[in-house]
Amino acid sequence: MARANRIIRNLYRDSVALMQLSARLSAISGVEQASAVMATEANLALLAEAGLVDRDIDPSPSDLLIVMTGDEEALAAAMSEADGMLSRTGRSDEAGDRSQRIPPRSIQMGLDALPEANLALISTPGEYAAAEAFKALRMGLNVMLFSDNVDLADEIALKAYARDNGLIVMGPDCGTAIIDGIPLGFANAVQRGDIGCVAASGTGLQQVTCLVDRWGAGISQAIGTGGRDLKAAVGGETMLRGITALAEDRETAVITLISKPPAAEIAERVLEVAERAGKPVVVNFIGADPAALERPNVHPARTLEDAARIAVALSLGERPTTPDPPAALVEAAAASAADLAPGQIYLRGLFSGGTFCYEALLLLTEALGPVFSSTPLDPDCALADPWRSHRHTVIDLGDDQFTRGRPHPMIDTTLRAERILREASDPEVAVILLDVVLGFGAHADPADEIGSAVEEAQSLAKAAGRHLVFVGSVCGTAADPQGLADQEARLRKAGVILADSNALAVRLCAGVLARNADGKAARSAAGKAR
Amino acid sequence: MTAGGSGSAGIRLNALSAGHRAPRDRFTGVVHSVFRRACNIEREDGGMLVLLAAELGNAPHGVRLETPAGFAFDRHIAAGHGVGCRAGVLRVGRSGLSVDLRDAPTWRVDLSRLCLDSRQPAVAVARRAARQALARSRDRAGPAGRRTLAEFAHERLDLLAAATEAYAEQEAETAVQRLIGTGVGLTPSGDDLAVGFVAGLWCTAGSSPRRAVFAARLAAAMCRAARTTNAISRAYLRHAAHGHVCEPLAELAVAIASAATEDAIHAAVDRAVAVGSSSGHEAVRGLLRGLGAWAAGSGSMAAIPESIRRPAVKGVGAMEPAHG
Repeated sequence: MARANRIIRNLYRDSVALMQLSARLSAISGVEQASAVMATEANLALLAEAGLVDRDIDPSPSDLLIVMTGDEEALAAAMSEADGMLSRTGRSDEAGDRSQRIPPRSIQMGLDALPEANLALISTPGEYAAAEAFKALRMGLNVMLFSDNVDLADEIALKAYARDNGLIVMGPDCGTAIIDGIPLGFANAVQRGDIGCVAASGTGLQQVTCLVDRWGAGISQAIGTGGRDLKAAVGGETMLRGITALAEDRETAVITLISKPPAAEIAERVLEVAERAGKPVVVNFIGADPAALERPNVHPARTLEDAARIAVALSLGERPTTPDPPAALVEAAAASAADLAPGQIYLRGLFSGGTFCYEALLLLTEALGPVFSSTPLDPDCALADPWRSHRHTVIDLGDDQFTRGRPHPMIDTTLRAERILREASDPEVAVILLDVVLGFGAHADPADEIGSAVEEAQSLAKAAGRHLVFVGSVCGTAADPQGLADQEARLRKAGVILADSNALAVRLCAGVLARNADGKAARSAAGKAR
Repeated sequence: MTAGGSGSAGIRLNALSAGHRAPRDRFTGVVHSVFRRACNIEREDGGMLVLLAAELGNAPHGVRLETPAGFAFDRHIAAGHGVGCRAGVLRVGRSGLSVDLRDAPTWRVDLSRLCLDSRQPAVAVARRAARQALARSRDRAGPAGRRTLAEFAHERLDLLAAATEAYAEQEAETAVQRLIGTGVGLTPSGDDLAVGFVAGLWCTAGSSPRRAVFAARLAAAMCRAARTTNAISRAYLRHAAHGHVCEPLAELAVAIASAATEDAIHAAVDRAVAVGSSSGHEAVRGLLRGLGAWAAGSGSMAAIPESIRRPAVKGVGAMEPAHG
């Protein structure tokens, strides 16, 4: 008498089917007995005791076990019959795969195809976006509203509905978020950790999350609010909801808030909620006086870099410090500055990230005095023509006035490359300050095109007997599609002095200009002495 | 129509009722197993939800659907499909099937509220009627041959009943550990017997602190032992451990507790044994053994002050309006 066993993993058939299978197999000539049972410990022990299965087999209670005794030939036929019976009913379907191939054409279809989804990313023209966002919210989905040009009234209504239904609306005009480790929009591949961010600034959020990653910590969630969220009319709904969500999130130990200074009453409300969050909250209201943000449990940060540094220190249980700029970097800037001609006295900042531009304007104005811009801090410093720089100039090439009819400079570097060359031909320009943003959605190889432009600009300057100092920072991570190390290496090779952060790059630029001004003064004094 | 073939068409079914242990707000899961009249969904948190065809009774973790005539889950859904529930609508990925849970009343059962006194003559008569009906149904079920494993399970139930009658906790725990996972069927016979047995204990435990303590400890042992059986069975065992069982079994318990007429008892048994192939039969067998475990015991209603006794029968298995 032979015996045969078969374990079929994770197969569930109802009891009638199991009985029918057992009966069918038993009826086969030459089969003495046959049983199809769930492979529980208890059943296995009994079957092993009866000598019907080996004791060393290792099925789980979710497996189906077929046990038979009889003639060897009959058992082979019976096992084949069992396979046939089991394969005829209820196996995973191929038809299901066919339906998957139909691309969803609506949120409803998307949700039908992916019912476990809990977030809809909406990127339609602004006039349709609010309606789509409402649909998503009514289906119980959180919303990331990438679209801009959404009416303020719609934003207020969407956020009120989300609040009342325990959901969140990120946006409108929310370009960056990282949810459960998934980068959405323009975002970077950061490692996961316990720092949660809520930001009204896309590139601000990218800078902080990338620096957190660079300095060895990680991000739990990064929530974008959209640029208008902290205006009085909207009331900071998303930022407040984000703080509450991160306060409740067990994966988050430190919360970081990033925004331009909100309306006063909203700032007060945000800080009140931050104070009660039950976890440390780092606040970077870019340009706000840190002393005015002081509250129990709140750690004010002056720059995006400071925000990331404080958050990382808190995450690692260390005391936040403000280190001096790396000596090698300062020396490299000084060495480069030594080649500047006396007449080279101005800086030109050519940014692709709006928040980088804004932060640079703040820091440079403080260090150098008036800085002209197409998006000036002071209306008196507005450029008469955004396409022509004047004295110290910092521009956001991602601003509407530059991107009409063109791709954003994070995606297409053409406009910036042209502007680099134009600035290089200005004999009064000493320093060109750049940001380079990596990550999903960004240019596949910005170092290639920007590096070429830098080399060409340097050649132009050299032909005119001058030298240019290029300073920049790369906002990205090692895991980004472009690769941080490779991009940085190629930009350095092209002659760009790279700092870890935008704020540090700005400080280096200010140092170079101060040094050249000192040199100019010294040379001037020496000339007079002669 | 093949499984998943209706993906683009989309089928929306309304829920007729939802067990009180069935989540209906936000959750995510995956289709665990599918049968013609039921579909098990394993939730991300490890819990189980079962979708049931309209003709089936309620379950603590089940949602009964307004299924059209001839509807079969396994023609639309396949194991492994993703499932999400958002804003009261449950969707089964790739199948196009969605279930509107928003207006479904909640079905609630708690046998521990029965406070059934098995020694009452009328209750004893009802139990006897149920035993007769069960024996008849077994005859109808055909010969018991090739049920060796089921017979083992029955023997182990006997050991459990004896230990329970003697309030021998350790022995009862050992017996329930050996019982669970033993036997034939998708939910092994031993599991069905254990579900019925502990349900029977909960029916009578409310009338005596000693019984309640014993039942609670046995239930805890049962939950631990449930790890050794499959996930479908485990869900039923864990709910039964708290006195929450499927509607047909609960109705039979209520019929016995209220000393219903013989015809009513027979009808209740018939409905209960109709569940599954052998599961219903085994669960009723277990229930009757559980109800009888302390029929001649020392548990006493007098031990519980009248003021805190719960009313017998009323509210044991009840429907509540949605959102109520």
